[in-house]
Amino acid sequence: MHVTSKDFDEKARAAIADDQLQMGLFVFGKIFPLMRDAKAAELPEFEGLRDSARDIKTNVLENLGTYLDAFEARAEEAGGRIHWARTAEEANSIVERLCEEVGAKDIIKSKSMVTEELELNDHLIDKGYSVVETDLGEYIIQLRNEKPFHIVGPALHLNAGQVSDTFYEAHKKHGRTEKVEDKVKLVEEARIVLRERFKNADVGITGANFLVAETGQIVLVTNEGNADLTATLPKRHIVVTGIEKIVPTLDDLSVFLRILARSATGQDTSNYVSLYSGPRRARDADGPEQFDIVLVDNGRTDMLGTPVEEMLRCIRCGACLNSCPVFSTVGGQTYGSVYSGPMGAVWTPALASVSSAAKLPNASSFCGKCEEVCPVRIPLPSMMRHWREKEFEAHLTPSGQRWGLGMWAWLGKHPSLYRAATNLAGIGLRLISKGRSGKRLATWLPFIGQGWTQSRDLAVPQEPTFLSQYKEGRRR
Amino acid sequence: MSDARNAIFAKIKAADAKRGNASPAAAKARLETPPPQLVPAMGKPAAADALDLFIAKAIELGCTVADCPSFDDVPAKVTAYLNEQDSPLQVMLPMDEDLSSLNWLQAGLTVSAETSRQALDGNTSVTRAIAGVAETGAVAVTSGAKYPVSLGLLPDRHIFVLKVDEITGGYEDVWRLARNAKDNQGVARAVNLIGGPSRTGDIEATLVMGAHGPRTVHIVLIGPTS
Ligand code: SF4
Repeated sequence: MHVTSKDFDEKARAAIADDQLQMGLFVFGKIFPLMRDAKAAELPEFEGLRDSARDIKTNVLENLGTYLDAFEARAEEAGGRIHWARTAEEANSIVERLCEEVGAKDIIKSKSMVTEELELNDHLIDKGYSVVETDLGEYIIQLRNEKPFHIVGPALHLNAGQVSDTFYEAHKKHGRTEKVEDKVKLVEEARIVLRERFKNADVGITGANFLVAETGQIVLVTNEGNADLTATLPKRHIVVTGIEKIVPTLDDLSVFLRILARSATGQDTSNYVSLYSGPRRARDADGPEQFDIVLVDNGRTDMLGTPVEEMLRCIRCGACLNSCPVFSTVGGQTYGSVYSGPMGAVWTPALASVSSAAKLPNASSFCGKCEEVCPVRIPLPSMMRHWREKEFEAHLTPSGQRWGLGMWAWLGKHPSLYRAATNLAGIGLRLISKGRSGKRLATWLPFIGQGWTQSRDLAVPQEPTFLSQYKEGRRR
Repeated sequence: MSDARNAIFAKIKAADAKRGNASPAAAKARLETPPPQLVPAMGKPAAADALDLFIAKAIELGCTVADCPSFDDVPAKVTAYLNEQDSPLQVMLPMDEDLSSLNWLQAGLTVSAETSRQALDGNTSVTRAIAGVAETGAVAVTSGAKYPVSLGLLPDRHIFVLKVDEITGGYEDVWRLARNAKDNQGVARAVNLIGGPSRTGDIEATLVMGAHGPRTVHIVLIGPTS
């Protein structure tokens, strides 16, 4: 997984200055959370379902081996083949080999974050295959050679005009010479072009939202139905997914189906909820001749038994992104990783490395909104804090911050100096501050304080200080 | 066993040892006898309410619903619908006794049992479902000779024929039906819950119908509906 999170600051600045993006983000950061809240409120049992979902996933992580073993056995009984991959390289070469086996040329793919993480498309395209994404959002960003903006809406940062330009260029070779701008017509154009790909592809690659241990089924949840076409029409269906996607039984699956769409897009249900197991059977009129499942580790087992184990409960609903004030200010591209927002701040350091993603756990206001909406109750802020500690231990924190914190700690150990310094700072702040509607605000700070006042004002503490009030016994 | 598999399982074992909460026997028992989970009231409506709830939810999902007194009346209902849609009077059918034995010709329809991609593309299909799910308004189907999955995906218009007594409460009822229908290779290759026409919200979060699959989904509901 290529991570460019080091450039977070510069990209954030550019994103904040991008008016078109800001408009999109506004709609997004306001509407999606509202829809989620409305749908959650319609279901009185929603909070109880979240508890159940958390408990089921905890049970899964404690018994991962047993459930994976059972899943494998059931999936093989149904005629599927299971492949295990430790790393991205291993996963990519398994998929490549499977495509080679059937002499494939044209591959269609439905959106899957795991394959984004593996950079599977690049690998297959390098080997000479044609790979086309079929989820509309994913198709658009594939044509534009971008990373997904959001795990649920990969192209939601673009407006119809940008999509129109992209299609106009890309579809010329399909004989479409007219430029369309209307959203309905843009969808229609993609439908026409992708239809031909669906009908002619040799291999279909999908991810899986869930794996059911009880029955060996893989579960796909979409609104477009593109995953179903991908799973049904080509000769071979290859499923690429993470080992943490397992749920024990169909009854357990129901719990997740009831919270996933509500948390993600504020729908009661996604349009297509499909369970697949194995290749076509003797009595089937259609379906793939071969069915392969690639179960990917790629860093997941390293998280087991650690303070970030709970992150493996994640069902990629995106609710934490939608509710995050940082994500809805800077957008997904800024994070430089396929996983963005609060969930990305925990996933990216775990799957890539703390050093390459040090900025992400810091890109948080720690307001706790993400944890509040997470359907599987992942304590996201405390996991980000864990990575921050790791980052500090590994001396990855910027020197200014380290120096400041060191100074603070030293002062903390010397109470009289601490008091003198805070008094002095208070006086200094009041000197440079301006009064505004009853509050005093500092609009300019020296030294490392500059970083703060460049983008916001600092509220100056009221007099007298807590300690001097305390001394005078003016406690309230 | 592959090296990768062994390595992954070894790491899982090591984590189990560290954590000490694994209970393989209990996990296996859970798979044998799935414990019931919290089912919201929406997922287990009273029998008297299920039909109304299903119809309301299906319409919310963008489906249209027509009453039909009996199986024999299905072709006439299909003709009426296609006329309304200004669509050619031709339907693609699966190899299903229930449907193929009906008198389609009399209703002015041409029937085709062809299932090639080219033939299905852009046409109208009529299929039987195993259940209508009141909780969500989705229709459940399972793959087999009677339901080629592409028949529900490639045509422009998909018409489900559903009996009133096939309407069930929630997901759990669909799983029960799917488990009961198990053969020696487990449950059907595909179990699809289809909630109306294919749609997308990928451009400016605006809902547009007819992304890849059917642009319209029509449900012909057989039996007394009131
Ligand atoms: S962390 Fe929680 S809210 Fe965020 S994507 Fe994962 S499941 Fe959804």
